[in-house]
Parts: sequence; C-alpha cells; structure tokens
Amino acid sequence: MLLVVAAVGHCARGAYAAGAPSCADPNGDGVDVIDAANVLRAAVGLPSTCASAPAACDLDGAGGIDREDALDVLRRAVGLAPTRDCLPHLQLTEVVHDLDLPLFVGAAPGDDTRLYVVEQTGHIRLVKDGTLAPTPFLDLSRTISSGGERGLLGLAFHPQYVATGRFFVNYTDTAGNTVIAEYRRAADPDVAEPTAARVFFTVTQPFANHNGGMLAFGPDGLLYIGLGDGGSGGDPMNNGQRLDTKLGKILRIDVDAYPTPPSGNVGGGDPDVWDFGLRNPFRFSFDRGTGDLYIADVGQDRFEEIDFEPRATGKRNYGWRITEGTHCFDPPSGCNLTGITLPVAEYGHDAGCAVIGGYVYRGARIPGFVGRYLYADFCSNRIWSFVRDGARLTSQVELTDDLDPTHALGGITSFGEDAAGELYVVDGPTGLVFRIDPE
Amino acid sequence: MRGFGVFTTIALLIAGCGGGGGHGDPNPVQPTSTPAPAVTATPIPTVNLVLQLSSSVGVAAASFSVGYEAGRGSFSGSGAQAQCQLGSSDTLAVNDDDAGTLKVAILPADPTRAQNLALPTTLTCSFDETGGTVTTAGLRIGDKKIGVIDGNGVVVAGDSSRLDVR
Repeated sequence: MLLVVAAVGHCARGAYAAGAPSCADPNGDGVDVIDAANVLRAAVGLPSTCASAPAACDLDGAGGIDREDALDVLRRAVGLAPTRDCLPHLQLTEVVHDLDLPLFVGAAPGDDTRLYVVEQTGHIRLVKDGTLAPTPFLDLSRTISSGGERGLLGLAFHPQYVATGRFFVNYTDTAGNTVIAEYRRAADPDVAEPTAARVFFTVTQPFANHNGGMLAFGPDGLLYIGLGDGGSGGDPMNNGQRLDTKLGKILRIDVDAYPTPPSGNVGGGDPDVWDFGLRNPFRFSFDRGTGDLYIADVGQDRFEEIDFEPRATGKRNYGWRITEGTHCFDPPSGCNLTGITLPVAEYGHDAGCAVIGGYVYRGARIPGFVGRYLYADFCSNRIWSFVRDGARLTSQVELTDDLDPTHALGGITSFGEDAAGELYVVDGPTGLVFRIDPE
Repeated sequence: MRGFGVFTTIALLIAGCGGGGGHGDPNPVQPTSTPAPAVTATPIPTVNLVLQLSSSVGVAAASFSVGYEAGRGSFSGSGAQAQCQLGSSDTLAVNDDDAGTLKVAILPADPTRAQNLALPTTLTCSFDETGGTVTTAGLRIGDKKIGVIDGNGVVVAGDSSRLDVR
C-alpha cells in the first residue's frame, strides 16, 4: 500500500482554534460534544474543524477519521473512558546547541551517557551526560572536503563498541571522493585516535552531489553504507541500475572480513552491493525491534520516497533512474517496472524537496509512539509518521505542528537514535539537536 | 392435647440435635434440615423521567447535565449503562456517576441525511427511587452546550440558551 503524503492535510491551527489542537479536540478548547460533532462530520465527508487538524480527529492514527473516532470523542465529552488510544502529544527538547552544521546524531550501543554529533565540517562532537564537550571526539576537518553535499556525512559504532572501541565514518575526502574508514576510540574514552585504523575503500565521485552518507550496522552485524548515484542530475551515467559500481547503492560489508563480501549480496558486479536503483539514500535505518530496513531516497525534481525492506531481504532494485518514487522517470512514461520494488511512501515536491529518513521508535519515554516510523523533509521541515502493519502501511500522520509549533526549525538534516531507542532531530542550519519527548 | 403434641415434637428434635443415642436411646431421631427462612425482596420503585428537548434553532450537537438528589436514588444502571432512551434515532451518550449527575450528549444519527438533531424529542431515563420520590421537575438541568453549523459548514459553539430541556 502506498501512502501519498501530500494527500494528508497539514496539521495547522484552524481558524476556529482557541488553542492548539490535540487528540479528540480539533478546535483546541477542550473535548466536548462540538468536537464529537465535527469528528462525525469529518467521518462522513462533511466540512468540519478536522480539516485543519486531521491528526486530532483521527484518534488512533488508523489512517482515516471514522465514526468510531466520533463515538469515542462523544464518550469523552460525557466523561466516559475512551475506547481508542490517542497518539501522544510530542515536543522537541533541546539537547545541545552551538554546533557547526550538524547532520547526524547517534550513540554507541550500550552507552546511555554519550551522544555523538556529526558536523558536516568534519568534527564528531561528544555530548556526555547532556553537556557538549569542548574538545571534539574526532577532528577530520583537514581530511575532508565540506560544503554543499560534501563533508563528514555518516557515523556508525561497532555493535560491540563499548568493548572494542571501533567506529566507522563516511566522508568525502579533499578530492571530493567518498571514503569509508574505521577509527578507534583512544585510551581516554571521550576522544578517538586521530588517524584511521583502516580505509575500506574510496569511491570516485564524478560530481559533487549525491554522495549518500549513511552508515549503520544491520541486525546481521554487517555494515550497511548508503551511496548516491554520483550526482549531476538524472543519473547521467545510469549508476543506479549498473551493478559494476558502488554508486547508487546500499552496500553491505563485513568489517572483520573485508574485502571478502558477505554471502547474500547481489553479486554479478561490485561484490559489496546489497540493494541498487537508488538515487541518494542520504539516511536509512534499521528497526531495532524487527530488523526491517527503511531507506529514504532523495528524489530528483518531483517525488521523494521511502523504501521498505523486510529484514534480511536485500538484492532489491528500488528503481532509480527508471522510476522516481512510483512514477516513470526514464523513460517518462511506459517504463518497465519488472523487478523493481516500489516505495511504500512518497510525497511530491509540493510538500518538500529532500526526504530525511528517520527511525522506528523503540524507546520507553513515549509508549504510545512505539512502532511508528518517523521521517521529514529537509526543505519544508514537515515531519510525518506511519506504522508498518504487516503488509500494510497505515496510520500516516503529520507531526509538524506538534513537534515544531512555531516553525522554528531551519532544516532537518537527520534524525538520530540513542542507546535506549529515544529519537532525536538534528537541525543543521541552527546548529541544534533536539530529543523527541512526550509533551 | 394439641398443644402437648407440639411441645413433644420440639423436645425430640432437641434430643436429636445433641447427637444422642449414646445413652441408650433406642430410637434416635435423625437430624433434619431446617428450611431457610424465605427472604422477601422489597422492590425498588423505578420511575421513568421524561425530559422534553426542543430548540428554536438548528442544533448540530448538544450536551447537558441532569442533576438529581443522590439521596433519593440514581438512574438505573451506572456510567454509560444508565437506562436512557431518546425519542429520536439520534446518537446518545450518557454517563451517570450515581452521585447526583447524569451527563448527556447527543449527535445526529447520520449527518449526511440530517445535519441537525431531530428536535423536539424526548429523553426518557429510568430512575431507581431508593430514597424517595423523584420527578422531572426536581431535576436540575445544567452545563448546556450546543453546536451549530456556521457559514463555513463546520460545527461551532452556539447559544446554549436556545436549547430547552425541561
């Protein structure tokens, strides 16, 4: 099932709002029979206050406002216990500021005290017990090229980092080429050794853009790497569909056996290819609860997409440049979709310009949010969430007004996940990192 | 003679209950069960209280509270199970706290057919009079709220005084 985000109303305050809309209270003045009437009207397609606050009316985020939602609001209006759970109200809590173009935040497995923020300009900053350390954990500013889509782009900690001190970075070097390298923690656990322990490979980038950047360990203990199609526009070298290049791919390597490829890769070309047909998978993540893979692939001029891959089912062609989202790109019509895995969600450029993939929430602070996948758009700073329910994708809701009610975010460059599974939002232009909290 | 016979029977029963026979009684009396005394339940008087609902304007939703003297009883059934019925087919929700307040809210049955409530109508609720007589006139109607459809077609708060409940 494909969810088209553009069809989901923007959860803005309505003309009738006395306060912020909240669950079962679309006009924001407390839950009452008037809310119930509006939810009922929305359920049958009549005008209602739900038009400006659909998330407040679709109580359980089940993918649509229905009569059961109205009856639940009616129960609440007379003080009865609700029959449907509301999506929790969320807020962003600032964790750290004064960062230099942050574009990723993460944590080492098992370490609840430290967060690591990647700055595009080449530093990995340490946030320890909530405080930004003045000394970078690692300074690669002289090793990398930065600006535009180049820079220090990704970071992943070895699953046994606490014991091994091993971590991995994805950056563009001074020549603009992609480097995947391993570094080690120093004797002082709050800093890293300044030189790489190993460079796995360097990929020549034909253009400055579409460098991908994500790194993450999968549930199989292997390192997954996102690389864009090499840049320019429209993938002029058709790298997405070519198997003899690392460009336009999700790669999968065994950091203990490299260059020997792990079994199960695509084969027949570059041995590290796990998935292909990608344009610029800047952010992807594994659901730590299921092992499923969510890939946010930045689109060309029209559509942004989220690809879904059940655990351990790679070798997929996600379509680029044959398709952009679910639509033909080359050729512009009548394209052959044989063998292509279409995205599970897409949105048009009326809702943004570059998708930023997030995570499936598996933390403890927001019980009502567990299992929801979160993603956003870099240009519009709109934030959405959905649930992957077996074969279906449901409960698409927009969280923008909930998380960013004053529309203060400058440009969401990434989400992040700490050791406990709590989620973070990285705002690049303002140099801020926020934690997503229950309100 | 008649009185004597009754007395004799009682004496025999007492002997039997003592588990006698150990003293050489040749004819021990077997114990018999005593019938449990019959409990006669006093029926709780239940009355139907009928409220008349009307309005001079179109009402897309309505709610109000019905106050009653808790010492005199409560509506039959608790919470959402309070026994109330609308005279129309509109959708009704009630909540009786059994402590003096029944909350009532009403929505149209199907807004695609009728966007407003079917008024006038009646709300009939049964009341268990455990402590005295209750009449409709003794109920206190409060917290009235009505929704009306505005020029944009959405439901907004209306003048609650236009809803008459008595």
